[in-house]
Amino acid sequence: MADPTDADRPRETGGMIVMFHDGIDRAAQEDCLHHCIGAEARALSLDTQQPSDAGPEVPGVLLGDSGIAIVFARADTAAARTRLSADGKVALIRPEFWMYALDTFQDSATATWGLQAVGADRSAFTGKGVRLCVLDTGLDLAHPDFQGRQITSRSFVPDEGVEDANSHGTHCAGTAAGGRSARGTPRYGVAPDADLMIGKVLGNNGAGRERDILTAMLWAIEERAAVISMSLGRAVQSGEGPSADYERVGSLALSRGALIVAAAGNESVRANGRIAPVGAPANAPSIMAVAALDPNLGIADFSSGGVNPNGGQVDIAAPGVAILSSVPGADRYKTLRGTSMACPHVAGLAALWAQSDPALRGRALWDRMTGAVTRLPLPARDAGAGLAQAPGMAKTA
Amino acid sequence: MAEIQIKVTVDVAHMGQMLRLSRSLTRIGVKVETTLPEIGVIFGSADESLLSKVSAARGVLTVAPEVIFHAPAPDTGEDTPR
Repeated sequence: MADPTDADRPRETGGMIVMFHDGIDRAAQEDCLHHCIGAEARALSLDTQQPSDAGPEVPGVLLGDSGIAIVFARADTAAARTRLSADGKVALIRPEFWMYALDTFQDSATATWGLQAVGADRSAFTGKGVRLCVLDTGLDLAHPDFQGRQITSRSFVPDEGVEDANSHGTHCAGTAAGGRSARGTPRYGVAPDADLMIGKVLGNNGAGRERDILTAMLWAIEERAAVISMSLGRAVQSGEGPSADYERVGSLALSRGALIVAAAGNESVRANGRIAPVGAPANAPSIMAVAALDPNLGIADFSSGGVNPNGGQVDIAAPGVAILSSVPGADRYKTLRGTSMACPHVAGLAALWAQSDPALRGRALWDRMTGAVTRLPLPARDAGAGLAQAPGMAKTA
Repeated sequence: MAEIQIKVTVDVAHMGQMLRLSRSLTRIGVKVETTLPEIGVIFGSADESLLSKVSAARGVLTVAPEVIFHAPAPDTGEDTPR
């Protein structure tokens, strides 16, 4: 999906868009264009004509009765701008931009669609030297893609070791920081060289007690993790605010240079008009809530939205449908969907950003990541600031 | 009533007095099991009938049954591997 023109966006055509004030009649608009850009300027009848029908000598066109004119690049735009600016009938003059088809992604031979969408596959950063902690159902320590890695691990689940007999944790850890694929599948780990920490907080049945989860969050902060990924949670009621304790641990993390990211939740059924509120702990204001996108960069049907007050908003979005990653067992890889899959994309990206600049920790890391997104034509309620990106990969138009 | 697992969140003004609060809860009848002083949270077990007494104890911000969290993804289904 690499587009050599991406770095140039937004790209100007060299032409200009002109808008007239309301109430200026069409004849006066045409007079203005004749005076400011040339006598050859024409008014188009939009039912039969379009700008490309204008002849090569035409410096600009008035678009029917819309009150909008296009000044072509071939006109003397500098002089035209000067004259238009001085004309009281003109409300707005701005550059004309190229527009692009919205991206659609699919897995390639070398990288999953998710890595392509966030730019991780093209990034020079790999998370090297950054501690990234995944709190989930543990990890398949025997998985070939994690061999040779220095992994710090601890189980907080009574009577269970770190070994993942569920598969959810291995999938999430793979997306955040999985290594090179041993079986010719595409690269799927956003930060393959991050120093991986695994905290098992959900049992092999996929459930975990709050006491173990909070204790593990504090462990990760104490162990100087720069990023903590939490693809877990519970649904909340409409109007329910965040718990003080998760906000405290999120705030403590930011003050200690750690960023906690959490899955927004999967309780929506958007096809039926239901948008469920962001769940806990993602609804704590100091924990970054991650929504899920599909390969067309639309919001996933199940992705929870920012419909509750007091911090229950979506902060950022990432790929969360048709996500290939590692799992235990003979299959080794599986494709899953959920905000659980979007969350570790953002965690891995946070590791890339943290590697790119040692000053990017805690709140500074949060601010940079939410400021360096690719904006999407989606409500902030659904996708927050937009599509999370690797350093230098944001598209501005 | 049945014994349940509870989470007690301490108000900010009393976060420096976790030991005293733990003792207060024990006197009420709570079996204190885990204390997280960094964030002012105490986990334990207690008969459900004691919740209002715990809630009224000095320094307690909230008390609630401890919640079980889940890994939500499998609930939403699995995409076809490709």
